[in-house]
Amino acid sequence: MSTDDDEAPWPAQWLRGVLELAVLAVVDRQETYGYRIAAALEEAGFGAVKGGTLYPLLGRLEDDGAVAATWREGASGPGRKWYTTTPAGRERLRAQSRRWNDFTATTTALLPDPADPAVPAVPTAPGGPS
Amino acid sequence: MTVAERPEVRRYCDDLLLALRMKDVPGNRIGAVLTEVRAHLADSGEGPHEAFGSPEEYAQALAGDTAVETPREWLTTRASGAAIFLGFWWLIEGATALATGQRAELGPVPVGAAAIAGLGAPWLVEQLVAPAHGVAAAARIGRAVLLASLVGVAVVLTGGRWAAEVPGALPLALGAGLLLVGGLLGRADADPVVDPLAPAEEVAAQRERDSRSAHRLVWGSLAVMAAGAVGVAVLLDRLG
Repeated sequence: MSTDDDEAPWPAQWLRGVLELAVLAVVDRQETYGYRIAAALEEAGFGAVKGGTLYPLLGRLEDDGAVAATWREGASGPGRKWYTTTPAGRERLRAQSRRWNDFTATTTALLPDPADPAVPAVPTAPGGPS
Repeated sequence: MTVAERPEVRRYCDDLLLALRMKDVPGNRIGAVLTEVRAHLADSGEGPHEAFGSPEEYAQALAGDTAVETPREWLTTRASGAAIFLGFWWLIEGATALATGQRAELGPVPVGAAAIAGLGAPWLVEQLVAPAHGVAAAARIGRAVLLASLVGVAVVLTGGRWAAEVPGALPLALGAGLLLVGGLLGRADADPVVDPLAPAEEVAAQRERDSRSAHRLVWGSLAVMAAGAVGVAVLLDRLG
């Protein structure tokens, strides 16, 4: 995972597990291209996702048939590859979202309640959700 | 100066192209990767190493294990080498015999030598130097290659007694035929790096031009090497 450690609000191994789902969710919102996906992920609080991580992942999603891509000339600059989710990709997003929700619920049930005064407070990483 | 013209971006793209070629990534995919790299750098304003890591790391992330040859590809490439090796041997044998007015020797020794040089030696070198590269091929055909090499060694050591004396034209024709077979087996279709936004007819024309150039290079090299080898062999025979 090539997110910068200083900028990443989450541990790299967490991001590794969820990044594919997050990218699929961003692409499913509207047709978009690589840099915009990275910017949307950063805006959502995932930290800086580098091109070296993002594009191989997009390539795998394309190979799997979860996203479709089209090349278009840039208005003022190089051509861009625009991505959109396929029906199979949307189904995958729905199914994985359900499983992710189950997983986080399971994890939350196991972990100690942060509101419990007995649990020491952990400072939030810069850039992460408050 | 556009992003693509920046020296560090040009250098990075050249290195990335080479790294992807080394992993047998198809040319149209390489063209798409390079265009996407330039577009991302233009949008983000980052440096190429900052955004993508080293060209080698990025090529590995993109290509994964796709560079591992299938057993069929491995065998085809090495069989081409063995056929060319044997073709040269018999071509020289036949030409020398014809030039000196003697009969040529046709036996199994060069066949065994070709099995060793074309199959066994490359396989052994790959196991010693780069075992990860040929894992798929090695696992499936390693035993067959070893067996062929051992038979080759036995043939080289003992096969001299079965050699027959034949007219020089026979090994000459066999050698030329094997060079043709080896050249056809080893030929690679042109796979140019193409801009993903280029019109299809332009890409097809570029592929055609590259194919013609590659074939001219392969067949021209084989012809020149064959003529050179025959010339040197005849000369040495006359001097001796």
